[in-house]
Amino acid sequence: MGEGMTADNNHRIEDPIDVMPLIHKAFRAVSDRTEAMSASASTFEDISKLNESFGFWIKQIVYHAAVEDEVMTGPLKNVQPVRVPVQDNEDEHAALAGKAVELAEFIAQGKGAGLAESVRDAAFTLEDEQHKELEDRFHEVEAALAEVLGEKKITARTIRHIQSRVMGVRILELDHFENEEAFVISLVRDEIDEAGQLYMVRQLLIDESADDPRWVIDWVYSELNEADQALLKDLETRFQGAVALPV
Amino acid sequence: MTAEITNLDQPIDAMYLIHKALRGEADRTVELARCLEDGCSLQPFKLAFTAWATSIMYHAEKEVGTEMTKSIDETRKAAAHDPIERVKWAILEKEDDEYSRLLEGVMDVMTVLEEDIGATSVISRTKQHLYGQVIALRVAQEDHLETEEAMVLPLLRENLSPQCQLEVVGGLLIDRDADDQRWVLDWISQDLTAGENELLLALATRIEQLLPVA
Repeated sequence: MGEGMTADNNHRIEDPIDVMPLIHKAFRAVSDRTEAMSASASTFEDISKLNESFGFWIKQIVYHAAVEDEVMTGPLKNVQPVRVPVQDNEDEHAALAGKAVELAEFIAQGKGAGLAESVRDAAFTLEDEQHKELEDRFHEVEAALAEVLGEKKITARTIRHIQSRVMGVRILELDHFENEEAFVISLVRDEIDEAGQLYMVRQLLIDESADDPRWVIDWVYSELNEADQALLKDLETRFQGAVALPV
Repeated sequence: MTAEITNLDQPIDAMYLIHKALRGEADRTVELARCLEDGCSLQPFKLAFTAWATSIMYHAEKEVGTEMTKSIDETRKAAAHDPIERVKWAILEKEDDEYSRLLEGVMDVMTVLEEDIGATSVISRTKQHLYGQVIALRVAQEDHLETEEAMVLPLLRENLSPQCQLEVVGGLLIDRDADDQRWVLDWISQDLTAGENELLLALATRIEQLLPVA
């Protein structure tokens, strides 16, 4: 956890990979905020605002997972035999990114998304014959329910489904961070030297392909308290000064 | 907050009282899951969840395949031409599947309780998983209750005689297989206002007159 890290390392992160809990702390902050926004949402306008926060969260998740797969678990897979946590880490990234993208697509469907989902889910539980019959009348069912329930209840149903899905993404994220902090970071410490770790951390925090390469590090920085910000600043000085690329 | 139910025009409207109790159980369980803290006892959560799960299972067992679906005159279904009416019949027919989905949700929570509980170091993960699963179960339950209220209850009101409705509701409210046959009434009662309890009591009296409790 980031708090523990601050207490244990007053002035400096020894192994560069130990910046990971600080990055995870930033993720927890944005996911906490998004979950709170979804919990208090009552209109679809609230969901539009939530979508902005969620879009940013997804962008960070997708970038973070892709870079980790490339520069962190990628090199670790060259260490034979490949350790279980390394493969698990990539699988968790895929699951997390998949769930997050699914949620974004769900929100994009608009106010009727919850109704469509519940009708679809119900249809899938029917026997084949009934299933086909109901599938043929899928939109009829949706339209009839929409007419009887009314717009307010339709929106409320969609919001309920979004809240549950946000919770699902958050749980996957928390599980993943916990696993990574417990099993993967120690492997990186053991198998990758400081220069390699500095390169890895730089890739995670600085996106050279972006118009604003600092969009990740500035965001992480903004989510941290002063003590953690100082640790991050020190680490940035170290990786900016490092010239060696990993072998 | 569920609105106060001020009258039961027809006996089947007692379903709104049952739904209110189910929603009350869900809210209590979700709130306890939300408030779980590292290292705290899971007992209050387990008790609340057990009460909720029991009520879902009992409701599913009694509603599914009972008078509620059996008592419907099939010729009326065949005569339904209005699209909304046809969808109502279709939804009534799949009540069993809806309950299967709810019971799957109950099993998902029980799986977390069985698999994740034990190692105290994973209590925060357990909390997240429990919270996620009970939220999902409450969403599934709310979808079901809302659909039942909008589509199924109006159909039953139109197609079942008051006496038949009393029999259906009697089957739900009086557990004739239990030592304490009135436990469902007592369970519902805890989530009702004084006025709603009076409505429930009056209905129970009518049921007992029609179908005397042993």
